[in-house]
Amino acid sequence: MAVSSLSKPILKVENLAMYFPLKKKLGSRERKYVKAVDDISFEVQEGETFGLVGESGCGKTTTGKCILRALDPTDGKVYYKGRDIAKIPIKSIKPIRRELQLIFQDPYGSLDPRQSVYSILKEAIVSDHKFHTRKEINNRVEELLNLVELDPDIGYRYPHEMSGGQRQRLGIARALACSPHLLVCDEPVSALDVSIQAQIINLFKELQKKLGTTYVYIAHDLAVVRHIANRIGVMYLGKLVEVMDSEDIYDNPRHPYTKALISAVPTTDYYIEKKRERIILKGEVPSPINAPSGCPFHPRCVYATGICKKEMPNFKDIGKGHMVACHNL
Amino acid sequence: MNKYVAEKTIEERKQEKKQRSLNATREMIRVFFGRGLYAKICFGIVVAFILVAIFCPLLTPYSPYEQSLKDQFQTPNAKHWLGTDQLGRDLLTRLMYGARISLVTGLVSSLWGAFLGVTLGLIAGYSRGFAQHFIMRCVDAQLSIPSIIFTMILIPIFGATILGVGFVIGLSSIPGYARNIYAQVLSLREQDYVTAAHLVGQKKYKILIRHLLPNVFPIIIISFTVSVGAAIMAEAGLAYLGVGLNPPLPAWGSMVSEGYKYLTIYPHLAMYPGFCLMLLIISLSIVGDGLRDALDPKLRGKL
Repeated sequence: MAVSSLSKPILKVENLAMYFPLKKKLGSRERKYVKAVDDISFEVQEGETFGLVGESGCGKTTTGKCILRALDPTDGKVYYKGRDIAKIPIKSIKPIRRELQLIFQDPYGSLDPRQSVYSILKEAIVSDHKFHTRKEINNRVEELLNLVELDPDIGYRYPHEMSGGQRQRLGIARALACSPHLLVCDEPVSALDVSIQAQIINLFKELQKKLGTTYVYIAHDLAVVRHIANRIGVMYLGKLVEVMDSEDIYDNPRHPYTKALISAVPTTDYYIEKKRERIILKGEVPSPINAPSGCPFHPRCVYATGICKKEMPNFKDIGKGHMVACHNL
Repeated sequence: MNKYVAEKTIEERKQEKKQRSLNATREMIRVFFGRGLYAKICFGIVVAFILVAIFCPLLTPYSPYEQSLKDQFQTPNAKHWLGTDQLGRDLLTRLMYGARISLVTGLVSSLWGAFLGVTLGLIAGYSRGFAQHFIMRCVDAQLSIPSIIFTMILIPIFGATILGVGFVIGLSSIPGYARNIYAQVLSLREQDYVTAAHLVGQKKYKILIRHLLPNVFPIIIISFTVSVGAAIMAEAGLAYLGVGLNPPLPAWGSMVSEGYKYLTIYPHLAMYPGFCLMLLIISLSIVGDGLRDALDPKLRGKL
C-alpha cells in the first residue's frame, strides 16, 4: 500500500532523540548518556498501522513513550495532528492526553492488582472529568467488554483471577475507554501464548476496522508485524535504518541489517530452508553509551567501507516511500 | 456471545451482587482464621483484652485507686483473685483498668502516627524534587534522636495524660511509617498501572489515593499492629521510668516498676502486668498478620 502524499499524517516524528544521563564517574569531566533514541524521523498516516521492529534494547519502547509524552524527549519534534507536542508544557497536553493511549507489554503489570475489572474501566471512563450517570458508565463498561470480546460477568474479577489473554484484552479495553486516535502498542503479544497471540492480533485488526484507530505497533516478531502493519520501520541501536511498506520487508529488504533480520526468520518449508542463505551477524550489539561513529551498524556489516566508519548515512528515498539509511545503495 | 446476560433482570443482578459481597466477606473471614489455631487463640486474647478494657467497672467490685493498708501484700485468695499490692489495692482490678490505658494509648498513638507517617511517606515518595528530599531529611533527623529521649523531652510539654503520652509516642513512630511507605511508593510509582492511570488522564492526587495507597495497605497494617505493640511497650517503659503516666493511674508499666521493688518476696506484683504486656503484644502482631492476608485480594480463594 503506497502512501498517498496528499493525506495529512496524524503523527509526524522529526529528529526525535531521547538521551538518558548516566551518573558521572569520579574525576571524569563529561557526562555520559545512554542514547536510547537518536535522531529518528517517520510519519504515520491516519488509520494505518506503523510497525516498529528491532532487537531488544534498540529504543523501540522509548520511541513509543516519547510519542505519547510519557517521557520527555531530549530533542526533536513530535507532530500530532499538526501540532508539536514534544516540547510543550505538560499542562497544555491535557486536552489531547486521552487521544494518545498505550497498550503495555506486560498485561499483568499494567493492571492495578487491587482494582476489579469494573473499577479499572470505570476509572478510565470517568477520568475525562465530565459528568457521567451510573447507567452511562455501566453501559459503556459493557460496551467496552463486548468490544474486546470479554464476558461482562468478568466485571467483578481481579487481575490475578484472569488469564493472560483476558488481561491483555482488559488493557485494550481500558485504552479504548478513552476513544483514542493513536494507539501505541508496545509488544502487546510478546508475553502471551502463541495461540492467544493470534487472537489478540486479530482483535487489533478488527478494532481498527471498526474504530479507525491509528496504531504504532512495536514488536520484535517480524511475522506479527508484517501481518498487522502497513508500513514498517526497522530500528538498530536507537536509529531508524529502514522504513518500507510491509510487503517489501520480505521481498525487497535493502539495508544489510534488515536482510540479516529476515534471514533469521525460520521457514517451515524444508526445501526453501535448505536453499536459504543465512546471514549470521558477527559480534554483539554495541552499547548505546559508546555508539560507534558513523553508521551504527558498520562494525557488524559485511559491506562496510571506509565511509561507513566516518559518516552517518542519510535517510534516502529509493522509490515508493522506501527509505534506507545506507551508503552502499 | 453475551445473550444470557441480557436476560437477567435487575432484581437478579442485585441478588447476585449481594451474594458476591457476602461470599467475599465469608472468604475474608476464612483467610483470616485460616492461619491455624494460633491466630484464633490470639484473636480471642485481643478481643478478651478489649472487652475487659471496655467493661472493667462492671467486672470488679473494687476500685483501682482505693487503698487499704491492712490488706497489703496478699497472695491470691478467694476475695482478691490475684492478691493485692503494697497499698492493698486489688491487683486484678488494676490489671483490668491497665488494659484500658494500654489499649487506648497504643491505639491513639498508632492511629496518629500512622496517619502522619503514611501521609508524609506517600507525598515524599510520589513527588519529585524539593518535597521528597525535605520530608525525608526531616524524617532522618528525627530518626537520629533516640525515641526514648525524644518522648521523654516532649511529654512534659504535652502533659503526662493518656492523650498527651499517646500523642508523643505517635510522633516518635512517624519515621518508621514514613520510611517504609516511602520506599514502597518509590517502586510502585514506576509500575505500568500508574503510567496507565496517568495516560487516561487521572489526576495526580487521585492516583496517589486510588492506586498507591491501596497497594501500600499491607505494609500499613503490618506497621500498625507492630506499632500498637511498640507503643504499649513505650508507654510501659516511660511509666516504668517515671516520666509517663503518673503512679496512681493503673498503667502496667508503672505497676511493674512499683512491684519490681518487692520482686524477691512478692514476685506476682511485677509478674502479672509484665505477663499481660507480653500476651497482648504477641497477640496483636499475630492478628495483624492474619488481617493483612484477609485484606489482600490476591490471597482470597487460596490458603
